[in-house]
Amino acid sequence: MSTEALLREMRQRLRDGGLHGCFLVRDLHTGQELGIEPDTQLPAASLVKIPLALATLERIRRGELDGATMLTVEPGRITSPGPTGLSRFRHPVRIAIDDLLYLSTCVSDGTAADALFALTPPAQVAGIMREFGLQGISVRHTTRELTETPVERFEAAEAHLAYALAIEAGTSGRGHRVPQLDVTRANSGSARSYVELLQALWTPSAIPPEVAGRVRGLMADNLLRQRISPDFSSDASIWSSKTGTLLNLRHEVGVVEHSDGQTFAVAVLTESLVPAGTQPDADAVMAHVARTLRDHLRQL
Amino acid sequence: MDLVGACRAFVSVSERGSFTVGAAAARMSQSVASRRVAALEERFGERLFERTARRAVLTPFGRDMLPAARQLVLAADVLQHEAETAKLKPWRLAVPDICSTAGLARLIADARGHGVTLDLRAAAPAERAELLHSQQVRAALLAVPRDEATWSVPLGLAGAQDPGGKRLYAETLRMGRAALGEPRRIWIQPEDDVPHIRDPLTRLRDAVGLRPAQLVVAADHTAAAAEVLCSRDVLLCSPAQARELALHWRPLGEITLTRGFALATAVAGHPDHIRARLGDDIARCLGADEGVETPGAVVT
Repeated sequence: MSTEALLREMRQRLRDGGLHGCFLVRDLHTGQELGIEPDTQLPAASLVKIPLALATLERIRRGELDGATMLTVEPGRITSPGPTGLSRFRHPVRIAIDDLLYLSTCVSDGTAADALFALTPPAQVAGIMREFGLQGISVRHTTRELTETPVERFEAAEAHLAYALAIEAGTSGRGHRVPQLDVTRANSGSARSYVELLQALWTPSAIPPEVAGRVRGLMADNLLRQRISPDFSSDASIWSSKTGTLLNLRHEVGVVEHSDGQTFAVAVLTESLVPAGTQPDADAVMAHVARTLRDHLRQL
Repeated sequence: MDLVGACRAFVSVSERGSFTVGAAAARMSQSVASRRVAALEERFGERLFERTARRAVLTPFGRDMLPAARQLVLAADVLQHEAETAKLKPWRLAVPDICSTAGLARLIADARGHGVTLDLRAAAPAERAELLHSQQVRAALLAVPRDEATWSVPLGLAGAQDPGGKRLYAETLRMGRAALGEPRRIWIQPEDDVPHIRDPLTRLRDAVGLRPAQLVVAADHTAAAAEVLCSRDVLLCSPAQARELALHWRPLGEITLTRGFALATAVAGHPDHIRARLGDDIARCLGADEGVETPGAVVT
């Protein structure tokens, strides 16, 4: 099948699945790419925890922070569905910075991420990204703000109204009346900017090798594997990734390393047009499209 | 007194110059003619005829009254004729375009038996309301929610294959993770493209995790039926429609959907008398007189 026909079919699949999707798949050795709307900016949701981990680990390398430092973290006590780890804890904990990195990156714990943001504020994370020459990923706020969305204000039976609002209240130029969904105010990025970040982490770059290696290790331990992992992981490959989920946003960016050495970066950023919270089929469609693009790229 | 009858006797006797012949020409007995003329003379306080032995001759007063009496008789005849014509004037009624030709013909025939001549306009729901609003029809059967409906028709899902069981759950149409091929669709006829049917079904689609493309509003009833006949798709329809298409009908498992109809008349009209006269005939035409059938009774 020609690339054009394949992309057309994939766009139709996304439309049928009620998704607006931005995809980019890149062969990290040859630089060959295949994508759908790879330059569209979307709010990053929890994807921002990769730049956060990168900045924190870089400061540990520089000696500004010590990974063994114990911090007291207040529990999140969040009971609405979604948040994990310390965000759901009921009692304060004493925890080391290294372990906060694990919780923030591998189980997408927002409270752990905010404890790290307290050490390295969003502006400083953005500054370190710039030092590494990584453009296009905005880091503007902590993750606490991500959990205070309209969906927390509705009863479970009426949560679909919050999703309808998320879908309908967009303004021109990718603005939005829900601040977490407004790319001009929220942490945001495009599929391409996240593939650039993955490329810098997996191939030699301005990022010191030991820092990149630790971020890769954290992403390999990602516990949230329901989205596109099922279509990429096997005994013959390693899938390292980070997911992002907020209101109608579903993202995952990751790298698949095959045992023969081939390595592909995959960035999938989507917004759903379906006003429902739980949509396993959206995850399945995202994974199918990402895999199809990767398979096509691999055989070229 | 019967003024028109008296004038008719007066005019007829004066034209014939004889009570006997004049009475016969007006199809009344001579004694009735005499009594009516006498009553008229008493009312005016003046004689109309010189009563000689054999002939009835007008008095000068009688000659003066004759032209006006003729006009009155003529006007009464016109009035009677108008009444007959008005009774035959057809009642324009907008009906759903899903009713079968046989059903509509039966409705017209039954209505004629009740002294009402119907002129039917088959149209989709929005068009029926528009026809009524612009007074192109005198009355319309409007699509309304169940609690406002005079006639209700149960809706369910019908497919070419026998699904077994008593009801069909929309969730059974959801794609499994390992499923291949095209997902099964639910087709909505234009008649059911109204908020009180389409919106709960859309919400159900999102809640049970169907893809957006699995719920389709067809351009017309025939196209929808054709799709269902040649695939595993299902049609949202009434038991009667399913029988006509030889499809297997089941009630929807998760929610109860009902087509409701109410008779509405243009501005000054009052629908009660037509509803009283034609209610049963309309119910039969809409298929509202039957209850929900047991699966065993569905004709295949």
